Amino acid sequence: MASKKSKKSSDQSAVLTDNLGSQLNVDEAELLSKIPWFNERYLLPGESLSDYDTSLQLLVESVVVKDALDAILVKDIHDELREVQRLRVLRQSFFIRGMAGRLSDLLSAHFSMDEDPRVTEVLAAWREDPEIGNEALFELLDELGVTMDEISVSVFSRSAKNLQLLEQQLARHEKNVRESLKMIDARRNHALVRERLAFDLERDRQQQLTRNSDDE
Amino acid sequence: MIWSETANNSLLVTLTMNKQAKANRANAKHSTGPKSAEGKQRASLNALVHGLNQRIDHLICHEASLLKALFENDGIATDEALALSEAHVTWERVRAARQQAWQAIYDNSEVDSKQRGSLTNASPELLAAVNQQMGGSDWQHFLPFLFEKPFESGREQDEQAALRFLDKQRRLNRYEVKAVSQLSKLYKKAYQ
Repeated sequence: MASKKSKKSSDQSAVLTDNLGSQLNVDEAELLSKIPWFNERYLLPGESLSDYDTSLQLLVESVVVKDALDAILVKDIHDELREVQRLRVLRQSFFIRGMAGRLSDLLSAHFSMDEDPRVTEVLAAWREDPEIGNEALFELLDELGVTMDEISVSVFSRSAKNLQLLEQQLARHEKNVRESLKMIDARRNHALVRERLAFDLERDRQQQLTRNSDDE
Repeated sequence: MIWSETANNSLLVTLTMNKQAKANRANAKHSTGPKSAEGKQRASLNALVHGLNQRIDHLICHEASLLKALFENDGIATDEALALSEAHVTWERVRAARQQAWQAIYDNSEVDSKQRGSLTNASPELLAAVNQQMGGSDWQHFLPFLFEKPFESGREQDEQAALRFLDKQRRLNRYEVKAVSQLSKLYKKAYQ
């Protein structure tokens, strides 16, 4: 394995140099900078580049990246975790959209937005203070004989297929994170065994030398 | 008797195929396919969905060679280093394909943006209520494109778009499962 040196790669734009520069030697940094996907930040519109770098940096520090292969696995973990985060937000958004849709169906079916003063008041109160607005909303729902729990249940049952697919994807990415961590562990355990073997060999050699000199 | 019937059938099939082939060729002459070089180039990739079935050639795939070198530097035998680098590159290709699926939501032309709705179309009171429910407005930074217009229709299309996206992701799973399980096995074997 290559020895560690605290030198930075010349490519300042790369994820590698932004986050791992001090952890890798020059040769490894050079090699990694030539791998396009390693230096690719998988971002979507609205996602922050600095957030990406900060979270990667935090992960690099917590895992203690030692070499280029470690760096590759850590970036894999990072990207998988971001995918998990996106899917969790998507799950949340399914629920929010479902709730909003169901509420709008109920309210628009039973109250006239333009003519019923209570609905207008509820909306006005909402603008002023969301908490009062929510209470007013609950009152309207009470009048309809519907509870928020019932709405939640209907939303869950309506989005069941999407949610099931989403859960499968989440499980997939969470498993990938676990597998990548195992890969890092495998490399580290292997390195430890190698170090231990080298140490034992050196000790045996020293003992042999001592014995030889004693014999002489 | 049986033989002759089979022969007749095969002759019939051959004749039909020839007839069909002729018809295809005749129809193709009416085709208005791409004319420009750019169009031809684009159309040449029509059948390519994600390229994940393509084998990784180390002579062409530079990154696989670089990865192989890294594994070899780590004391891994050449054949194992080769397999490890291939599995890493495959996994990365799947990740890129997943990213494309996400990106496609933004570029989705199947759902009209007017019908899709957005946060800017949502009423302030509804946003405030959701903010309260979510304990802040952070959620607005994610997936505003999927937000439904309140008190308006269009929900079905959003549901369908989300379902299509998740289905795309699901179809990529088998490639990822293969790459990751292979990687796990290879790491265990190489670093035992």
